[in-house]
Amino acid sequence: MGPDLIDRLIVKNESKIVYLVMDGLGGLPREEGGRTELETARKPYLDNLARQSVCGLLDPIGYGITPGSGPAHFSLFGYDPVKTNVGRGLLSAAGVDFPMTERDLFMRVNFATIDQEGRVIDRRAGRIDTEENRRICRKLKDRVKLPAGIEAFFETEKEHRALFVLRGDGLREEIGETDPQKTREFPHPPAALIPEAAATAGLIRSLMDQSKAILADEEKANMVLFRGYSRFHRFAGMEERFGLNALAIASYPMYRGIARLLGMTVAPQTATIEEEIQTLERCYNDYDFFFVHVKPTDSRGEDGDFEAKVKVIEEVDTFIPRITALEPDVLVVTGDHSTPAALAGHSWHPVPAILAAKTCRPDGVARFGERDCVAGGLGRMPMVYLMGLALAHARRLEKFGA
Amino acid sequence: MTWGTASHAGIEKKRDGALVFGSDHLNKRGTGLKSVPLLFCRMGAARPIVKIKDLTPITARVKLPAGIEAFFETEKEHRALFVLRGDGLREEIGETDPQKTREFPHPPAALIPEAAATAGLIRSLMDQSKAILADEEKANMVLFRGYSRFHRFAGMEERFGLNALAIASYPMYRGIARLLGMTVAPQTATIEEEIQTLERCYNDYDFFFVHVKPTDSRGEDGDFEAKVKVIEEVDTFIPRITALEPDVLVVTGDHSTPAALAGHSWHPVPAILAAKTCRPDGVARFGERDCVAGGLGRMPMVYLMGLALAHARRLEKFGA
Repeated sequence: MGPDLIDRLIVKNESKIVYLVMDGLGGLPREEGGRTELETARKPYLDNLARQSVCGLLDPIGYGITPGSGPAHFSLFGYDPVKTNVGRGLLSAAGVDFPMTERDLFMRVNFATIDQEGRVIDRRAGRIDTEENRRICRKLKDRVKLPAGIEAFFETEKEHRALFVLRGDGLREEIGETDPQKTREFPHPPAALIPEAAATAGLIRSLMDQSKAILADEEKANMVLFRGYSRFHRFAGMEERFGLNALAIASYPMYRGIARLLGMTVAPQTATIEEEIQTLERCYNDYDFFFVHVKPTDSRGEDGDFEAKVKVIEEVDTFIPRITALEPDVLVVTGDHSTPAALAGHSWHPVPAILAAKTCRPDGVARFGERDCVAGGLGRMPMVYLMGLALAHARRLEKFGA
Repeated sequence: MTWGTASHAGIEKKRDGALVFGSDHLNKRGTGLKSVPLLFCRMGAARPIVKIKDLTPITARVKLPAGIEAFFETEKEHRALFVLRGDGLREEIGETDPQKTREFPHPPAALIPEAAATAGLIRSLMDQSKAILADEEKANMVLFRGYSRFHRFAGMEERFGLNALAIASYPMYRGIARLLGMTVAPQTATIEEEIQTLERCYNDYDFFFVHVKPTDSRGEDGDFEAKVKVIEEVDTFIPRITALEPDVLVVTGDHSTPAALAGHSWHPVPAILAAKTCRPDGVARFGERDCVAGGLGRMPMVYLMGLALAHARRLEKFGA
């Protein structure tokens, strides 16, 4: 069964589905045989929810595959993460709500510092602040010269990161990355990876050279590095595929962007987890699917800060009663992938998951933790099938076959 | 395992220099090549029992059409490898072993029209062999089966960047390892010698396939106790393997061979994957029942390699 079989079985009803996604939730013990972040956290409400629901472990992409945030989220929402894998540029563009057209080529820009010979000495340009980033984007936009029929847009994201968009006919995405990934190296030229991309590669090369000249008087951000090229892609949205009127409550641009690409309405940005829960409560009557994204579990995992990740989980736990008080027909609590503090980065380990619904068959899981979830009723399953299960428990799937 | 049997012997010969067998040669000549294990038996005998040492008579006397070469290579006891080399040979040929005594050998039928010429050639070779061997007391007939053309597989180096060593004493497993581009360590006689080889070669490779055959053999024998003993013997060598501190240690089997069934079975195979990056599960003993509750769950074996590579930090992130 492919992940899109459910599309043919959709029926609409009044049910509500809440996805509480703690980014990078899965973890590892600090010491051999010890407890993971989730197992360490004091989280009575989540443990209680685990007892009343069905648990399991989800593989975002496949055994051994460490996912980026993009494919992991596509998988969570029932989209084949390999087929839908797109360059970072498109996710950035969606994240800043850039008005996209089908003639666009998106790419990520990292501002960097180069020395007099042109070697990269800081790949993040001293993490210039966002205001500085805006000034440099304006400077580039004003001075860069383009061939007839081509438009260019520099859009600030955050710190040293920006989105760069080329608009024109026949642009290709098969271009090599220019970030050498190491300092003391020259930026790579933007190579055409297929012959048809030669013209686009030449254009990008010219823009790199122009940018270098334009930024020569800058102290920190005196170079641009391009990566994550992507043309425009249209995805069948959650309404189109599942008949769901979906709201995304996420504060980080990338997740807001993914939600937009999948046709969700994106709630105004908020600063804290509590504000996200308030948004959920306030908008609960107006949508039937809610994607609540909690970023700090991943951020603290990336920092390698075990204790801080534990604290984030404990904070999320305090909001569980407010979510269950809404009495959603289906409540899923999981992550998009694992970010064990022990590895200070994403990993390939499966992600613990709770699926709570009246129609859950009880399992023996008494605590929400990786070890406990091994024995859960969901077993170990590909994440891409989670959406189908949620829809089934929401009674939004009809029978297959006679 | 038709291809396994055919290929191990062929590749071995290539290494010996006695028989050119490989992709270079194929490319150069653009020819097809076909290898067929031979089964010698006495017509009417209950089981093939003859030990063939010298295949010279048959090799020397068989007559071939222009452009075709043939190779008869002794394997063991009544078994041999037969290789035809030439253009346009096909593998879609029916088996000739009737699988029962008191039956005539089946003719080598062409299973698709394109295989008619090859079938005719094999038929002629069967007839010739029968005539050539008419004066033999025991091995007076050949039965062909397991036809396979040459297949090239992307090796472990090519696919995974692994410089792999196979420590296996049985020809078939050595053959599979060769097909996948592993270096094959010299043959050894005991499990202990295999472990010694592992220790001796540990610095020179980054993937080690250590193959223990007797668990399967004793299972095939239907000898429960003996299979238990083999497992117990392997257990005594685990400290010597862990002392090498591999980043990833996998202990598993290729399939189940329950003594109760005296043969291969479809049951899933228990597995251990040990690495610093393992998430602990609750399994306290290595056994089929305990592994049901293991953190790997019940997974298709074909994904094990990806997991091993992940724990060895040899896979990069997928997607942005």
